[in-house]
Amino acid sequence: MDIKTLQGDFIEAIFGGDKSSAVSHVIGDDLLTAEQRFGIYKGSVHGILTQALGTMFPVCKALVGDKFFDNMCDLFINEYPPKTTYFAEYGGDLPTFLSTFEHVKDIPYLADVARLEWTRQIVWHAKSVEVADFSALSELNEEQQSNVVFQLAKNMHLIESEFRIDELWFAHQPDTDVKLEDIEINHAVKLIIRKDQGTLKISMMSKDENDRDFWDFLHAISLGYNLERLAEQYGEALGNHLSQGIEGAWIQSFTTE
Amino acid sequence: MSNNTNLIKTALTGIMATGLLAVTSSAMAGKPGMEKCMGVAAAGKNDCGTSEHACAGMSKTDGQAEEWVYVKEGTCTKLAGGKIKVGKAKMK
Amino acid sequence: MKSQNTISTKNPYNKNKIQGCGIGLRIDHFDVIEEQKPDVPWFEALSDNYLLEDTLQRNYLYHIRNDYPITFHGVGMSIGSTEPLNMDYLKRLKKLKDEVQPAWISDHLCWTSAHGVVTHDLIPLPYTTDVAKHIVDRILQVQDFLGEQIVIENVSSYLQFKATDMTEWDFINEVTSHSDCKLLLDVNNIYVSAQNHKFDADEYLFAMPAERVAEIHLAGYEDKGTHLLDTHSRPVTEPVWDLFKKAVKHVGDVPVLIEWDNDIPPLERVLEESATARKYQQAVLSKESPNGH
Ligand SMILES: [Fe+2]
Repeated sequence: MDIKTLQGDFIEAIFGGDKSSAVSHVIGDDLLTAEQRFGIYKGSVHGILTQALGTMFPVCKALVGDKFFDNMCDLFINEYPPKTTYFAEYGGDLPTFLSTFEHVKDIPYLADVARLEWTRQIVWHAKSVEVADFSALSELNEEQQSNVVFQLAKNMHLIESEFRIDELWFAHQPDTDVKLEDIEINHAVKLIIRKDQGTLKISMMSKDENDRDFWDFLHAISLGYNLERLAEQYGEALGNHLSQGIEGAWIQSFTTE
Repeated sequence: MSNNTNLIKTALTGIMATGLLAVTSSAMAGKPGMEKCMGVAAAGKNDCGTSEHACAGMSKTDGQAEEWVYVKEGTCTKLAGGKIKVGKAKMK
Repeated sequence: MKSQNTISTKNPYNKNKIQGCGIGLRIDHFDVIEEQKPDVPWFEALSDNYLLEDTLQRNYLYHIRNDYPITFHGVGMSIGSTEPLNMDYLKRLKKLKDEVQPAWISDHLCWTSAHGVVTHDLIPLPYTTDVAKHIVDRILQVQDFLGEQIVIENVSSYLQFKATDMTEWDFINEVTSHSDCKLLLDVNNIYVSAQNHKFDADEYLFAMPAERVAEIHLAGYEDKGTHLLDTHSRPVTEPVWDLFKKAVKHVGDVPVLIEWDNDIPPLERVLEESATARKYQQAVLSKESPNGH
């Protein structure tokens, strides 16, 4: 018997593949068949991972209900088995999974809520890093300057959605006064999620045009646009946006690649 | 090209003028424009956000996925949908 | 030999201070521990929860280890796996160890990951001489890397492999003696497996190498009718208390730990359980002269 094969057969069967090879390694008896005994492990793995996903995505879970969530997780777990030893890193594929999952087509905002919850987790655990010394920018020559690429603060992420997912999220927090019944879900939002002084902030950019423009500017930075390209796109507004970005510590550092 | 070069030069001079070389993340608090619409969730002290690892087994019935339950019994059923409420903004 | 950082030198505890009946450290109890500083002889931290840096959990652990002796207990080592040792995991574990200085590090005699996939569950092994050799090899590598003896725990199981050709207790003796590691004797796991596979728990228990036992685990299982499931969600049951008393007789005055991982009750309830363990342990020790001490 090759233990490597045995472990491969188990992994295959635990995550939704063919069970026959895994079961063939196991002794059955009058109390439980080999398949049932194997099933205890499959159930245990799925139970452990479903619980972890429920902790990571509590709002998604509340939205669809426990039963639906449990069943959905079984399919997700089979499609995306964990490759990481740390629960904090498992579940990042759920938004992608949900965006094509046929049984949630009637609640198309669910994938975005999952994205918000995942982002919340990343932001919450992000290191707070010292802000770079931006005065060094003035020492660069013109060509270097136009090639400068900025990095956003790691404890901040941007999310855009067709739906009012920010209110949806807040409606599920304890002591909230956002009522689910009052949410106008079909309302596009541009959100900034960040950690500040031990609290998590989910901010929606106001209707103020300059604010929304600023969100787009930060978004362009997150896409890796260099100064040349930013100048192209934002023209006269570049100066203001850049000062605001650095002043507010939205922009954390730069590189001159 | 030269227009962009000028824009960049102006922008960078602007940054230097603000003299913000020792900004910390705390300086972000209360910046104008950023938090007009939504509130702040104070994450609880115990809110580590992830499940705990454990060396305990769990049970979840094998084959549950086959008898798929389509019914959503969660809070999504409470969402009204099309209602529009202008100005229902939460200040913080 | 060990790197000394600022945190470690402040810790007043050392290996000798792990004594009596401790409990597993759970996130649910962080606040009450910090606020009330309850009288607990030591905490066992599930190391895998603290391996990512700059997390809230890790900060809590830094605080708690200043007030209590700590041991580490993990599930991610996957010592029985056929894939290469997870060096990222071991490096993180070593760094955390240097910072927190636990009295010892334990993990399970099983596999949790293989072929690049992590199950996060404890899956048993076929018990053969070849598998024992494979594991001895890996334990030696881990001990070499961490620079200390590790502690290996017997697991609960719900299945047996056709390939198995030796008893679980022979397998444990083979592995621990050849790798010269310590043993974490989970009395509840012995009982659960004995019931599930119809073997004699006493025979298993008394075959354990008493001199290698660094720690005893106790927990509560769930009776599923067809099998017992080691859920750590209940109080310790009567038959397990009975087996525990025999275990104390066998191994002597060894630190005991209560594990409670699901349906976690308030801290006081877990402490009640450890007080009960202490009471039974003392009663046995005062009657018997400990033989493994
Ligand atoms: Fe245990």
